[in-house]
Amino acid sequence: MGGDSERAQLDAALDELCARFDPATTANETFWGAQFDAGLAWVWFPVGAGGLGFRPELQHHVNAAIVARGGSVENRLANILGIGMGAATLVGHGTPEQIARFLRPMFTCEEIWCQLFSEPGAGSDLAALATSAVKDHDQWILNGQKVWNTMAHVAAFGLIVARSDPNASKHAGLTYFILDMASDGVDVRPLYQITGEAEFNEVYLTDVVIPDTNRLGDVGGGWGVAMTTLANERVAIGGNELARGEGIIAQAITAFRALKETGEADPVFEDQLMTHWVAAEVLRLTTLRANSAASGKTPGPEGSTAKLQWAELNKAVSSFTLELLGPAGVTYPRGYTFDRPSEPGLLSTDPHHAFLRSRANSIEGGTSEIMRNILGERVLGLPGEPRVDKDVAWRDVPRN
Amino acid sequence: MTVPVSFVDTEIQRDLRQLVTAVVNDQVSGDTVRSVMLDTGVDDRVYETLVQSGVHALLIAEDNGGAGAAMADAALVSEVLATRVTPVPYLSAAVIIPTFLQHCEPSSSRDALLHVLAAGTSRATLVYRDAHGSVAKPSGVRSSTDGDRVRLNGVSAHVLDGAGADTLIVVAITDDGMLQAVIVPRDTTGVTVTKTPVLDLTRPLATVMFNDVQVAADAVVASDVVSALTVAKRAALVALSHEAVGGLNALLTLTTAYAKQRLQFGRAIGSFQAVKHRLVDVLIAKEAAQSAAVYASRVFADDDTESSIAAFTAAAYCLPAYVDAALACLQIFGGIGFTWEHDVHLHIKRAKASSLLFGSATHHRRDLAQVLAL
Repeated sequence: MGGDSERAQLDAALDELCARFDPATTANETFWGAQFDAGLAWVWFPVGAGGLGFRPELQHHVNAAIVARGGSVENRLANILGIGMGAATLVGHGTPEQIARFLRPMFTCEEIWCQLFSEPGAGSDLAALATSAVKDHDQWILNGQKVWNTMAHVAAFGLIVARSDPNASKHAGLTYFILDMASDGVDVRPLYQITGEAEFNEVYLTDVVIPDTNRLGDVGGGWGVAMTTLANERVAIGGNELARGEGIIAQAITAFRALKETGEADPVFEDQLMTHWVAAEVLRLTTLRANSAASGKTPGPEGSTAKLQWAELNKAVSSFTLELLGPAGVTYPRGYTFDRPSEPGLLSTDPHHAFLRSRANSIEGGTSEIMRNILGERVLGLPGEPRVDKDVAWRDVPRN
Repeated sequence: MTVPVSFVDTEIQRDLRQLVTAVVNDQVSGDTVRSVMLDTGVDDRVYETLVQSGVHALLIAEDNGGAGAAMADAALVSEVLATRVTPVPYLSAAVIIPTFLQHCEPSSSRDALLHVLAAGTSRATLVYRDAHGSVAKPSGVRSSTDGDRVRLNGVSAHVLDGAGADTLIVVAITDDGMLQAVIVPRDTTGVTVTKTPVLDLTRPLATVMFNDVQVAADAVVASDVVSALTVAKRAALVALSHEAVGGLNALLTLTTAYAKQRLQFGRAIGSFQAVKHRLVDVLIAKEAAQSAAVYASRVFADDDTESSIAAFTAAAYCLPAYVDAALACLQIFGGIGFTWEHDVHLHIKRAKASSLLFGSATHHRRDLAQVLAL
């Protein structure tokens, strides 16, 4: 069967890669480039685009093998918006030229990517966005404001959706582009969040020029392209395979052990810890199960299940961990630094920071409420909300 | 060590699922369950069909006349039966008993009994609780050897299918404090079986009294059954976790269909987020419960530690999840869900009783903490 032969081919490719570039000693950028060339960056992508056309779940095997041999897969987090979301969008909707130009430096982290979707007036209702894109011969002129742009201050490129036709209904009038962040008129400003850091940004666009060759997908087809990005985002955020006891629960376990050492652990704390432990373990098993069942190239709605549980687990456990810390729970040792981190920090290993940072987990990448709508409507087939803005020209829809 | 497992059904499991689904679809409905549960609590016709198909002997080794299948296979049968809260003694006779006996030391009387059970001509249940039905305390039955006879005295409550089984496997405390297992035909003089009024009428329980019951010494199948009892209880937790998955599946299907069809304020109630999100939480619980249950049944025969961690995790998650979902679904059904004619209360009662039968989730978490030794 295909499965076994794919696995054998994969192992051979891995061995060859590691023989030529020792993962433990090769510089990351060089190794990742070679990994891309070997088709082991995204094994389910086509040959030549960093893949081998294999089943996507085999990627976990590749990642584990590279780590086991002393290599790094940190690029996946460092450039999560590119590697986790942008890449699949490019492969699904990009031209051969775009794929050839952008994927490799994305995978090596030579070019960091950001996502420019949300706007002050378009959060959960993303399709209501207002940033305008006006065609001018073989280029587009963009004006507007984007928000919650993780990594925009270090990004070379951005994935951006803009309104190319205000007279069409809201979903129909969108077009998707690749934005060179160094373009004139792109103003990236830090957006300080409750942790005191500015991991996010606001991006102001004033008469920004994008060549038509950087359009991704059809004019007016931006919504469909954006859906590919978002489906991958939910998996990139929630779909990490962990070992038992890893992830947010590790912080609670550490804090509980410290209490045990001082004789302050009691059965009530232990029972609460076990409730969270069970939730973490069951989510871990669900992720394993979802990954072992995954087959299609665009992740299905089960990605939403994992993302939702992941967010709720992080929020609950990080709050409980502060409780376990006792008096230290009211401190904030790292202080409010007002810096701009250069890597995304979906989850922190510092329990005080994690308590605050995890609040965003049920908002970023789709709120838990929107996730529940998606699951209810696409998986259970329940009827949708009444949509008063359906079949209305976007320009006539009331908005803030 | 965690064990890599496949979460996908094997071919045998696909066949089993199909077979049991067909039996349940043909012979079990809310109406048949309501009728049976006010009578004996056992649908003999359905159980007979299951016995004919051989699924009662999945866990009995081939050497003893059974199918020699794995826990994952038997638990799947439990799962499908639970979709309609089927009132059959599968848990007691086909899961607990074979697991228990095969974890006792081999003996000719044990193997002879397994052959009889595999043939399907006899139905056995395990008697091991105290007089109040506690699963954690020592057996309420004491035994003493008297020449070539063994005498049994005492009371054991909450005996699964106690009134329906013809053979009792009695765990008794010996004079020197050992736990032995003795085969006692139910019609032996001095055995009194009294049906217990139960919350879940589809899983009948009984109190069994032993008043100077005498059996031959070779009725003792094993002389030290402490570890066999532990494994048998673990098997019960794994099977119940799979039952919860079956129940969650059924609840989700039933309630989703209702939420699409029931109109209020001119809209299907499933279009309201208050209802929609509640149903999605049932969906999430079902997916999570399935992961936990499948992992637990797959690693059941692995090393004790991993098998225990997986079983306690599954029980601590799946059993309360089934209760919560059943109660949430009642709320979505509204008034109609509160009626006897409706099926949702079958699930509520099954779920609640299952979540207590072998200790509550709090106990499972405590046991889990002990194994994990965090």
